[in-house]
Amino acid sequence: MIESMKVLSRSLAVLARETRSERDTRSHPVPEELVAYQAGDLSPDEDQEVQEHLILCPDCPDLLLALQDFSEPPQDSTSISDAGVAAAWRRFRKHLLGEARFDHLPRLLRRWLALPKPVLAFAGVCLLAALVAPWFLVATLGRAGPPRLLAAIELDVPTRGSEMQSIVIPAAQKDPIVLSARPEGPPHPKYEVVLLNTAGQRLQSKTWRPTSDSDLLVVQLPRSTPAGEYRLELRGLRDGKSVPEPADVRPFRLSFR
Amino acid sequence: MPLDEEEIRRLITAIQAGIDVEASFAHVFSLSYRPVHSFFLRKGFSRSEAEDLTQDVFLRVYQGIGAFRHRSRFATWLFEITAHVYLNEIRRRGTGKRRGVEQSLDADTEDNLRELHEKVSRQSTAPQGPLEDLLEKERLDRLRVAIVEMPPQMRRCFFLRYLRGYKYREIAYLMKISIQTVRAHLHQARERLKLDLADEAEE
Repeated sequence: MIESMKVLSRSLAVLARETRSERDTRSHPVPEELVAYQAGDLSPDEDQEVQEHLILCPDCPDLLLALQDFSEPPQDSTSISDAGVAAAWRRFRKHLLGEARFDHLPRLLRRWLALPKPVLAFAGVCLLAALVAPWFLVATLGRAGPPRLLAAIELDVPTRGSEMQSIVIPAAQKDPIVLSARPEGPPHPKYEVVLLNTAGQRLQSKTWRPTSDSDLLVVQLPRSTPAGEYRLELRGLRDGKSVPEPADVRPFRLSFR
Repeated sequence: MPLDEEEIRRLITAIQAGIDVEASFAHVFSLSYRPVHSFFLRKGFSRSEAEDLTQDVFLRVYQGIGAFRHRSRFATWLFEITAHVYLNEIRRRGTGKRRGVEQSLDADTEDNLRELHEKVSRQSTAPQGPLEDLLEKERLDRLRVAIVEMPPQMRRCFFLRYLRGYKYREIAYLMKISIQTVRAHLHQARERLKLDLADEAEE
């Protein structure tokens, strides 16, 4: 009997396909069409088409039957409690307010704002980092740039060797100490710059060649230079040797506060 | 409990007039949430999936409620939106979800075929040899002819009952006829089959 039933089942399925209307070759009716069918708003031909479709379609009859439940919701295991509906409304309201708050914004921005909060937070941190990074780089790497001019001794004043200049450096200052000088007298292609202490001991020396762009000498003293009295001498070089007469001499007193 | 169309109509009118929009929509939401949520649960979605899809439906309701003109009932409009959200979701996922729901119908169908078989078959023993097999095949051919010769509406009722396993009241709703008519069609269909098979037995 079971075998016989299987054959019968198969026969019915084949038969249903064979006997269905030739017109029923289209795709599923849209929900509006199913509603119109149920309301009797279709033409007789369209009505017949939908009926033929309902015989074999695995989905549309169930969808159409569900229409009944919208007018008279059944009370069964799928029914949700009042508390469940209230919770769903709170969720919906939250979602709705979130959407409405950004209604005036461009669509792309709204989509960004609709992203999950952790993603938004991460994006915010990245944006902040991108904004702060240039300032941070300038502030950090700027220290490796040209030193600030803390004190300048203009050695082109014709009072060489006379008046003691006093240079007071702030104790917290970490930049090198910068002095400037401009030679006077007959020009030389090269000069020797010498830093001496009061005992005449040479602490530093370097060679300097003025250019057509600048004849201003800039001298940097290391920050580790101790407080005391010093003398900066500028001597012209001739045949690799310093001329006896200095082009400029400037004594100064270095102190820290 | 039936959906209170009159109350919903009043609330929609208030929403469209901009009167207490949030409270009015909250009331519409609470009155009509259950059928949508139940629909998705019956279609085999999990509770959380059903909640998400229902939220999606009400978002569309909220967006469209300003243009709702009461030409159809609110329940019908809500059904159309729900059906579109459902079909979109099915399309997005493939057809797996739908198949899961159909299995119960298959079980019903087997019962219905058993019922049909018992109602139209003779009280004979099962075929046991080539001759019996041939007779069984011929009997099925007669059945096919009998079904083809049925009037269209009777044939549709017959298939919906014995091939698809729908209940009488469901067939009545799908075919837009009364339950009595469905019952009469199926009774006549069975009588025709019995007669045809009896003719076959006499031959």
